[in-house]
Amino acid sequence: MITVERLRRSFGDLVAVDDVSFEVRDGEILGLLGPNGAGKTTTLCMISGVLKPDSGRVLVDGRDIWLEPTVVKRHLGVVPQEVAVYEDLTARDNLSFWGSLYGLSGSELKERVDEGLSRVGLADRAGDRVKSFSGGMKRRLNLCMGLLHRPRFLLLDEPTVGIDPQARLNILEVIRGVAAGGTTVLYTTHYMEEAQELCDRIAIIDHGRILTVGTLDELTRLAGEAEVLRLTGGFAGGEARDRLQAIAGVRVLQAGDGSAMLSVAAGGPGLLAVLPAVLASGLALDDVSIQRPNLQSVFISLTGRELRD
Amino acid sequence: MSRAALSLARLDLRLTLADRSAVLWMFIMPVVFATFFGMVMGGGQDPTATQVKLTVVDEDGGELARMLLSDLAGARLAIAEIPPEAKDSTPDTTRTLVIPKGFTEKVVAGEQVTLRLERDPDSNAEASLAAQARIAGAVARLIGRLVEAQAATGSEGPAELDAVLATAGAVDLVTVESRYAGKARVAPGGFAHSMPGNAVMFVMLVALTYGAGSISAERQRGMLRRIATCPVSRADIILGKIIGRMAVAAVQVTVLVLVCLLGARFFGEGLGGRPLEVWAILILFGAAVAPLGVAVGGFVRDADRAASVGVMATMGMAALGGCWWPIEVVSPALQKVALLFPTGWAMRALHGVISFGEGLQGVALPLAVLALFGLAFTAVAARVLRAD
Repeated sequence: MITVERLRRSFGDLVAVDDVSFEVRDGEILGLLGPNGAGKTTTLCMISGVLKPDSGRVLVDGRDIWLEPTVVKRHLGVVPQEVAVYEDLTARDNLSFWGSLYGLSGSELKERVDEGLSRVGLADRAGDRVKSFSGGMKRRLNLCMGLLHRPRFLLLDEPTVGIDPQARLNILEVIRGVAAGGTTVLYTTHYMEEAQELCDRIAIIDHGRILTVGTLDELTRLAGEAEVLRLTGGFAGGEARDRLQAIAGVRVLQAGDGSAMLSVAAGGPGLLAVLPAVLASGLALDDVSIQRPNLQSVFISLTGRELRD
Repeated sequence: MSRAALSLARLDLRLTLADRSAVLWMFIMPVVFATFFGMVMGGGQDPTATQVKLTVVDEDGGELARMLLSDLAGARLAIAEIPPEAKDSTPDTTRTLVIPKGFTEKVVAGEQVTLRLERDPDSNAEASLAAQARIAGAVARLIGRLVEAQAATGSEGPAELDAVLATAGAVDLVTVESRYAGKARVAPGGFAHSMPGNAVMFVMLVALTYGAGSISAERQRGMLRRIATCPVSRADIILGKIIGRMAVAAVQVTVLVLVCLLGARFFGEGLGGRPLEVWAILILFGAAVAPLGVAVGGFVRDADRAASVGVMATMGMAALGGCWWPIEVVSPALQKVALLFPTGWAMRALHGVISFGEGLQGVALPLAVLALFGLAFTAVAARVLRAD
């Protein structure tokens, strides 16, 4: 189990991670979901022992990574967001180098390299220099490097950013396979769909703070208490806020020029009662849509913003 | 040393040798520069064995003047004799010996005569000094013959001219040998300077540009951060990086010394007949500056800027340390400034071995200082190298 206790890290005046605590239970995939700049990478850097926290601690199977770094890191596999590969080396040479840093050598290293290359579908390009690879192939190699030593804990930082759907599916498939083999996975992403598809539990992070942690069902139930109406049209933000706030049982989540979102609280008048009041509000509406509870609505209900913001 | 540190070092060496531009600056450019500047600075010739141009104006025309001239001609002087009336109209009179009218008569009479050596202020001072020494030698031999002739006649007075002339061809009673003595060493020239100078400069250039640049690039691309996630201690990462740069320097130095050995006929005294000592000094120098490259890479976060800083630092230290010109020809103040840099100490050790006949023991001080530089740079590198 990975236990993250009250991590805090600031860069000058900017508090990047603020009092972050969560657990990654043995054998599960925990998604750390949040928009860019939410503090996911900083959190992961502290968990992987690259960045020292200002306060708080990280325990991996009860061992503090900053007190016993080499012992703990032996069991960690880290796949960073940047494609950290040597472009002038072949795929095989890259893997051999990273394997050697984990103490692998000789025939064992060769077997692991061959196995890894097959797993990510790069066996036929093993002898090619990485500089000739596509972005997706580099991402797959990047993932393979983190798996070579068969880690018990795998930390992945947005491993599918900027790649084609096929390569993305391949990477997600590999991660599922690794998790099925008993590896504990912490997966950071800003793709809601990936978190929904892949993760057993999801922690939502924004502005350096964990907002909530739970299974997809738990989180959507949380959001289900408030259905979301999305409005678009030719109205000003201030005008929309004033008129919508006047409707009973409605909470305005966001009101900008041309778009607004509001939630309808459970136990109140209900969507069917609210909708006519919205239409009669006098706002120049082009479209009104109801959003079913999902991670997006959870995020909106927690932050008042969409995840892509 | 841990296996991880060795893996890191091996990777650095491999990546550098796979880089064509690095290979160019490691092996090709030093040889090209050393060859060019070696030839410009006098090739592999021994400066004391060169012929010195000397114009002679014989205003006397007597027998003893001819005797003196004949002796001078055999003293490695390229003599051009011109008549007295052409003296002012002759264009190339870099240094001119004037034998005054009445020279023979006065010498035979036992009177003092002054020979005048006139030299162009822009002429090579070393060559003029050599000419002066050789003229002094010829005069001393002439005096020896006068003494011999006087002894032959048994008289107390001046020697008879015929008796003096009769000694021509006989064994010299006086031999004069001139050489540099004490601490007034002649500045090394030709390949004796250009080979060590360029070797030192290019070893430092590769350490500071490719060393610093590659480390900055690794950090920019997240490689150092990823290495830091592996079960490798920070000490091993720093050690691996430094040893990698040392290995690059060692390969570079070994190849350059081998090229020098293979081209010994052409490069002349580039190794001073002591290739092992020169190799050992350059290896120590490479080891001393390798951590400086790591430190620059750790300090400057942008790869291109790190390489630029490396180039500027190398050029400055090469110039002030005496790689471009022999430090012996600059002012005493600048000679002291050279000792602030590892290049200065390396050149001091190399000149000692190549040009001044010292062994490694004789250059123990510069070697010890280089080792101290290496330790200091290692401490700085350990402080500034960060993965993030």
